[in-house]
Amino acid sequence: MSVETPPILQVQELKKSFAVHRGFLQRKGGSIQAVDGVDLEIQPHQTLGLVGESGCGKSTVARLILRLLPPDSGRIIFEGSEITDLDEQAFKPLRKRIQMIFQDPYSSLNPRMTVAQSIGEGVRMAGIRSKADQRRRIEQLLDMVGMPKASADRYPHEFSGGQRQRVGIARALSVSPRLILCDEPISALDVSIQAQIINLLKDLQQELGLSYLFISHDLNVVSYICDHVCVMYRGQIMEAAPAGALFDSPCHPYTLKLLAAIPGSKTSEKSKSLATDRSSIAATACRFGEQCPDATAACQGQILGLREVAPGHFVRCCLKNEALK
Amino acid sequence: MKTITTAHTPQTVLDLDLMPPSRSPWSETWRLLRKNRMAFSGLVIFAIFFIIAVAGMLLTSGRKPVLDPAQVRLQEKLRPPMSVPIPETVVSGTAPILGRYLLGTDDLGRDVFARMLQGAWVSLTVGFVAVGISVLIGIVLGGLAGYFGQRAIRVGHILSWSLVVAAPILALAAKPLAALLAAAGALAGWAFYAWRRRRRGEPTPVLLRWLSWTAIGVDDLVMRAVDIMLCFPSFFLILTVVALLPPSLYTIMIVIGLTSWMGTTRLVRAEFLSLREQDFVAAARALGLSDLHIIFRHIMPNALAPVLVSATLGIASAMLTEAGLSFLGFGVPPPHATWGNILSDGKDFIFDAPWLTFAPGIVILIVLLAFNLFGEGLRDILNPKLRERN
Repeated sequence: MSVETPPILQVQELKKSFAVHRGFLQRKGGSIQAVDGVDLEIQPHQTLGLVGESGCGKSTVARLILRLLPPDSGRIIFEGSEITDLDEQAFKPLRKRIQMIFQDPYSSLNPRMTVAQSIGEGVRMAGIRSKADQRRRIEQLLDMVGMPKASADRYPHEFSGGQRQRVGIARALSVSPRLILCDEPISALDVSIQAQIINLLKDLQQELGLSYLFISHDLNVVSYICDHVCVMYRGQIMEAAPAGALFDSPCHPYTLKLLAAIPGSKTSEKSKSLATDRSSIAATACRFGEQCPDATAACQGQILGLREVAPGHFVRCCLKNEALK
Repeated sequence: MKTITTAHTPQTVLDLDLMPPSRSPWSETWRLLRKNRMAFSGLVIFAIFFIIAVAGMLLTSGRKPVLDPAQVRLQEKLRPPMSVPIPETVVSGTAPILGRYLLGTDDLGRDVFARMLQGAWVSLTVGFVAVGISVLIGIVLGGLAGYFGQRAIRVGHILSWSLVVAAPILALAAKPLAALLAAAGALAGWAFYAWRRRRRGEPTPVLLRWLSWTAIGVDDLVMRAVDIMLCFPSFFLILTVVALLPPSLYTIMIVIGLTSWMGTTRLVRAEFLSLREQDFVAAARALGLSDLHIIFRHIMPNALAPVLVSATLGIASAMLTEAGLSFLGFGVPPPHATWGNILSDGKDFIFDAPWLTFAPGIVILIVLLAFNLFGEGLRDILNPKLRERN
């Protein structure tokens, strides 16, 4: 891994909030800051893990990158060019270069289309015109994801979750993307199937030189597949580090808590449940303050930025700042 | 961590020989339909009714119909069913089918069987055309509200579109200057939006900012229209409209269609809202497919099942409405026979000639029952949750 190569995807200060409508006349009743200033960088041929609890904004980040949602502010730079302000027409050619694999293999395939029809849409978008070539490409894609050619003319309801997920991967690959956003691709699958899908993703990365943004809440999987890991909490990155460093020397109290929650880990202990309070908090206060076992009076009212505690290892915690001084 | 590292990807993950033969969603629906006896018998009755209605239309229309529903035979009035005509009274070429009055004759000696056949075609066309109109309106409006519901209709939109409508009207009313002004205004509105599209992000001049004020959302507009339409008791609305318009079969069809689209609109909107958030739609958008492609290839096929069910039930209710209107004398004008006006004519002779009332009454009952059974069965069959069980 060379640090000098330009990243395939850079996300800077990305923000997105959702308005909450309440009451009879749908008045605006405040908003939820789902993504609050997220910075990411994905190197070519590498995998960036994005971990965090449910509702912390992981999937929203992926949908913002894919422009399924418009961001409030921030910059998204893909292969050196900014895509944030492009209109749909200008973004269309770039769409093929970023694809997504979804969490739920049951809702990610159109139940009224055969496997060949679902994948075929991507194959057509990739510019393959003749029917025979399309068919050949579809069969090649199915082969790549370990599905028999004959499954092309079957409907999604005839397959299991793992098989559907493979079809979903084949559809994502159909336009030859460079970057694939994996939105919890295995959390809806059996453990044995999970391993197969993970290894398939790894093999494909090696074969095709793909980059992944791998969103998950399963730290075991993340440690296995990812080169870099970002830990997210309530819309902010709490800790970002190379995978080895994050798991060997975690710094942020939230990361520690997540690691402790892995079943069977050495540091496993009874920890309080992390009930997320969605009431808005002061922009300057530490997001994790109320849950933090180490919180002190010093944590209040400080403007928190990501600080580099070791080369490539960033932490957003005032306690660590104090320790550095 | 270890469980993952030891696993490996097998060459293929399933053996197709072990799977049941491939079934498309439609063949699966057909299989379940045959298993559901009520729905299947409903479908069979409907098929028979369809054939009879078409045959009846062919037999009773034309210059010299095989069975003339308008043939008056005053000596033969109020003959009971299955009675043989008095040979002397039969005008050559107007003998009833099989040599008998299968369902008797009415107070003018007309063959009730022939009249019922003619009425079947009326019921069939009224049912299908009225429901076709209402489903078409429902799909378009519901689809708009569901898919584009979040878009705002701005003050400028309303202004320019009303000018677009006003220009030709003013031109027809021989007011050329006003028409020109309206056309110019509409053009200016179009230019404003083209300019806005090209320079997104730039602030609009203060003087023009009121054009961008949101008047109402698309979803709100459509749904409030539905609410308003639902406020009217629809049968009386139809009665009023029919009383004002010249009576004809087509007026009835169109009026019933235009007053029964609200349920379909709500259904389609709800389906679009939930399907729009499905991952396969997100995947289609990620592939760069157009909105139209997503609507027609991905959302519509999945949204049609409940529409089909409500359309089936809607046909029954449209037939009933037509029969009711004809019964009250607001329907298809005589001498054309419909089930409703046969029933209406027969009510004066209910004790002397009960077949005049029972023939159309029982047929209406059977056909409506068949449609409702078929509709209910279809609802069960097309419901994915119930489907898994079979």
